[in-house]
Amino acid sequence: MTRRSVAFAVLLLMGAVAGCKRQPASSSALKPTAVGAAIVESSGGKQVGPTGMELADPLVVQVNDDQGNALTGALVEFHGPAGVRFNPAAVLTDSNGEATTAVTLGAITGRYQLTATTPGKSQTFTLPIVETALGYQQELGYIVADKYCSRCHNPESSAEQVSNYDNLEVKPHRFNDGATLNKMSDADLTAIIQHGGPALNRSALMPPYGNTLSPADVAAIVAYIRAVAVPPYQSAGTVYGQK
Amino acid sequence: MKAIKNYLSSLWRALFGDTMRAFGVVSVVLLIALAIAPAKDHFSQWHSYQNGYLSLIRDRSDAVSLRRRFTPGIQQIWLPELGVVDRCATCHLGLKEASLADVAIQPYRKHPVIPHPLDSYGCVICHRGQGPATTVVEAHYSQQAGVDPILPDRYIGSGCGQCHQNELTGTPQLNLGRKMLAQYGCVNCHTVKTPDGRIMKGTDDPPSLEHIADKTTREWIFSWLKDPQAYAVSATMPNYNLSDADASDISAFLMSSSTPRAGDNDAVLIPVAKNADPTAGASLYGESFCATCHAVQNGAGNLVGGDVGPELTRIGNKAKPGWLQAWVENPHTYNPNTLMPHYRFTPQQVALLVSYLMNKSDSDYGANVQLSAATPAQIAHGRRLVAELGCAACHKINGVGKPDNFAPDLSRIGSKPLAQLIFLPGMQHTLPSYIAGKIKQPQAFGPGLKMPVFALTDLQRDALTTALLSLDDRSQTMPDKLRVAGFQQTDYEPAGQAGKLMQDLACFSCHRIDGHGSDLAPDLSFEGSAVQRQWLDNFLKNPNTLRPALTRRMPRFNLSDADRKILTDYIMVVYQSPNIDPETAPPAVNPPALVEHGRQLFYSKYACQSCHIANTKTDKGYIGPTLTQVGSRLNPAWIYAWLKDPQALRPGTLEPNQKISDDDARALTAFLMTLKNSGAQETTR
Amino acid sequence: MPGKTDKILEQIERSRVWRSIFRSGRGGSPLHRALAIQQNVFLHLFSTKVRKRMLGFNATWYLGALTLGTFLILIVTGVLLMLYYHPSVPQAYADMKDLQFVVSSGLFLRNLHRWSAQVMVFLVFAHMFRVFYRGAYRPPREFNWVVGVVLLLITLLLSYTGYLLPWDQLAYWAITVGSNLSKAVPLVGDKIHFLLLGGNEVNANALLRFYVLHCLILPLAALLFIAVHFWRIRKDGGLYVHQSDPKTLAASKKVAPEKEAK
Repeated sequence: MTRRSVAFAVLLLMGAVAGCKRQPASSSALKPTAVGAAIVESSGGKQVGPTGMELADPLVVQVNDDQGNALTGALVEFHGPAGVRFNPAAVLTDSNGEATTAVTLGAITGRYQLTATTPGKSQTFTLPIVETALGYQQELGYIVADKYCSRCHNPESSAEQVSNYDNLEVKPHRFNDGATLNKMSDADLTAIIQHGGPALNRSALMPPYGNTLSPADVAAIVAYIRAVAVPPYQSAGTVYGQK
Repeated sequence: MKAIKNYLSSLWRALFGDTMRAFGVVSVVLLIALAIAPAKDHFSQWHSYQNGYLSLIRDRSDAVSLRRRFTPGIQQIWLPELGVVDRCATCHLGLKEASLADVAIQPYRKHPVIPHPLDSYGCVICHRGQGPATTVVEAHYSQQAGVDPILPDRYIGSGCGQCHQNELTGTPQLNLGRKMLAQYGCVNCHTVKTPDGRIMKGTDDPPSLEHIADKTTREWIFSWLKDPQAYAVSATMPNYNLSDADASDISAFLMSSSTPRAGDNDAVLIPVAKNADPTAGASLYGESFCATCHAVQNGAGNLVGGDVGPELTRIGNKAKPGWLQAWVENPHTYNPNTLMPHYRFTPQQVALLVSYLMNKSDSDYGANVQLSAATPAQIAHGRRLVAELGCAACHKINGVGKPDNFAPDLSRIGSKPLAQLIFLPGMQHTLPSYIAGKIKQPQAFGPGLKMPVFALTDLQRDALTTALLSLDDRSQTMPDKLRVAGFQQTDYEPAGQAGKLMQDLACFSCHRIDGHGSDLAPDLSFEGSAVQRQWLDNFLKNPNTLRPALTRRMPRFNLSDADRKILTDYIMVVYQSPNIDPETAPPAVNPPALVEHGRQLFYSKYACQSCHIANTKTDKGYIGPTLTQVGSRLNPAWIYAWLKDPQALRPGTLEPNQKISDDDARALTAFLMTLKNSGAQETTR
Repeated sequence: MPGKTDKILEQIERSRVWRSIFRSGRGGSPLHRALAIQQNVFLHLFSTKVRKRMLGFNATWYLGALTLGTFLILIVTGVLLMLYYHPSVPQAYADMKDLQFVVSSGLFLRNLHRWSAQVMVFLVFAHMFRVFYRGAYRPPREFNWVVGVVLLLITLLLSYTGYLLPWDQLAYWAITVGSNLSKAVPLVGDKIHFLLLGGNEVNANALLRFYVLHCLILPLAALLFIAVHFWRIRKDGGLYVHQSDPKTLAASKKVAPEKEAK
């Protein structure tokens, strides 16, 4: 074999390798039949769930045309940080103009910034959605708070649990009331949970739980309060956002 | 070409021409080759991760202290008792650093706060994986014998379940999964020996089929076998995916094997009174609190009611009216071990309930089922099917015995070696995905498999997988002192006439006494110390709404005076707490000054009105029991002990332990004992 | 300054310490060179003189020497591995993991040991074929062939016993299969099986027995027979070189008509 033929063969091989570059994963085999002008959230945003598990309610978004009517057959794609899974990740809107997906959050505790996008005529419309994932401690805090605290602190009643909120002269704060609770330090929250309202010169209607709940449980409640605060605690924005 | 050849041969001569030269060259090459291994050691993977950590912390505010706490080299947690050697901290350097809470990239993330210190437990106990490894692939993804890949975090509760046989607040999935193992009857076929030595018993209470022909029709059995969840959404019975012919044969066999229950044959349906209110049946159903145990799907499709007894949405399709009447009159004649109490209904009340329940039917259900009479061959085939499918593992059936070792033992399923598992195409080759996949599609894993399909949501399946993964080798073989015992049901039964009454009234279906029973209603083990006799007697006559925190209500049994006296005497005498001494207790009547002091403490210092109503005019708190009659309900000794430490008397109660001093407790008791019938009367519900 | 270095070296070699260790003293004379071999306990197994033709590559392809070389590598790596290995049942596997992940160059040591073992078996067979096809077993070298066969068996046994030591699935089942083979021997099969495993199944006893065989008994036996093998090479007239070898023909023509070594 001559040197020239060898070189030619090598070049050919390199060309072939370069030529068949890997196809990027196509976003979907879906063929949209309409393009929308706006995308809004119907339900399923601002949920709180344990890490690594599917959120209780599906995320439902609606695509509207420029008259504001629901649009069928538009493509909606869901994006999130690494670790978040959507089932499905891309879907066409149904007859109600809605696209539904089940969201499984990643393994990190914190707030996740998700987006739902739909291609429009000239631009892509984006809808930001925030979901919160609770780690072990926050989830424990949620369970303990649901048992001991929510009867007074949650104004909403259900068939299983009637709220005591309206029966109190001094109304307690909801646990996601970030406007008030973010201003209180962790030590303050721990003090009021363990020693009752009088610890911070507040109403004695809040009893002391220091003897009933272990320090770990109280710390868990505080962690839960911090996790679900709206506006978010330590307003550095989303802890775990999209790259 | 020639030039190359010349060049190569001259190179050869230069290097190896001379023996000495060859020796020297080979030695140098050998030394270089020998240096490769130490070099690979030095430039190891974990070394580069540690360097990455150092550059991560360099720009942080507390870089100095982070640097000081960093130890280079392989880090190891060694727990010889548990056979754990974990070298994860070699790369996962930020596990214990609180200031790294904002770091999102692995392997430098801080470990979430958990109840156990990492150094005493290691990592592999909860997360699985190969602890001794120091490379990424070997540590996280190795599937060699005896090693699992890292556990997906939705099953992380399984690690807790290895030691903790008790119910933990922080492991809702594990708790649910364990409950489901019993509730869905898995343990009726699969033996599960829990690590504390017990064989797990099912709590699904599958009905006996020995007298099934009295209860229902063959057509209903056919429709039920084809799809149990079509009859009752909450049915825990699984679907065997039977063909029409098989279901027909099985139903024929069950009808033919059924023996009559004495007393049913001569039942005559009691007619409903002509002038009865058309809603009387529904009212009686509500007043009897049937919904405490039975659920019904309402118009919106939501299940309302309890899950102790079967769902009654379509009971009219299922039950024969004669059977239903006999049942409502006295369930124990059909099933002596039923959880349903014997309500002492009048015949008219029985008629109302039966007509109300028989109206609960769905005309679409079983509408097209037409079964021709079965031949003996078909009946024999049905019997064979019943034996093969293992129906008798759950149900008592005439002529078919309970099978032994029908399904694999699951006591160590959490450590099943991968080499013994079969995977469906597209499944991840890990144990959790096998278990979850097997529960979802049991019969897809091979021909001739008999496990039926259970109607479970993904969340329920994950919970069940978590509970099963916690049953591994380590949980069965660990040293006893590391185990945390769980609650074990005792088989306590009260004696004598009271015992017979309690059995007849099925008190243990809701209440727990001395470790036996359910936690649907309060624990009565110390009820005699707690309440006053007269109040108990009145309560048993007319159970009223006492605790707002409970969603279920005690039914009214229309007990005769004599029966009530037996029960009240027994409870008052036998169910005493050894820790409550009436001799040293505060008195029932106290000086007014103390009472007033107690009243002030109630309203100002302890603000009890946030949860309790002492005076209906001023108080509205509706979490704890209303205290307007507490002076005639509870004993002062109990009140005093309760105020000092509620959790000692009822573990898990919502009442906070406020560390009330002795004097304050005495004053509060004095005040509470004066509350006897003030304000609005307690209405009977 | 070479001259000065030489003088210093000479002084050292004339000192009492040196002469008490190296009795034969220094020198380049044939006597001294011969004494250096003959009076050394390790080297006196070999003859003081070898024929040049025996050192050629074509004669032996150095196969025997390479076998010895791999054996020495195996001894050295084996001893180093022994420092980290416990022959007990759960611990053996854990030690292999430690060697792989924690011990510096542990993986290299283990791999070198294993590869050398494979290479040694290959070389032993190659050496055996060479000896056979070149006729180096002919009288007076028959007994040496027998010793060589014994060495082959010892090599294979070393390989077999070493295979169990990692105590992984591969080891366990390989030894199970192999020991079950021994059961097929008529009359004494079961007894051999029991003797081999120290019991009826492959368990901790078998591991310990294999460990002692692999690290003590068989290497000692091998060293013994290697010594005999080398002694016999020397006494049988050195390495056998075939008549058809051109160097042999040339040498035999050059040298005075003394008889070729028997």
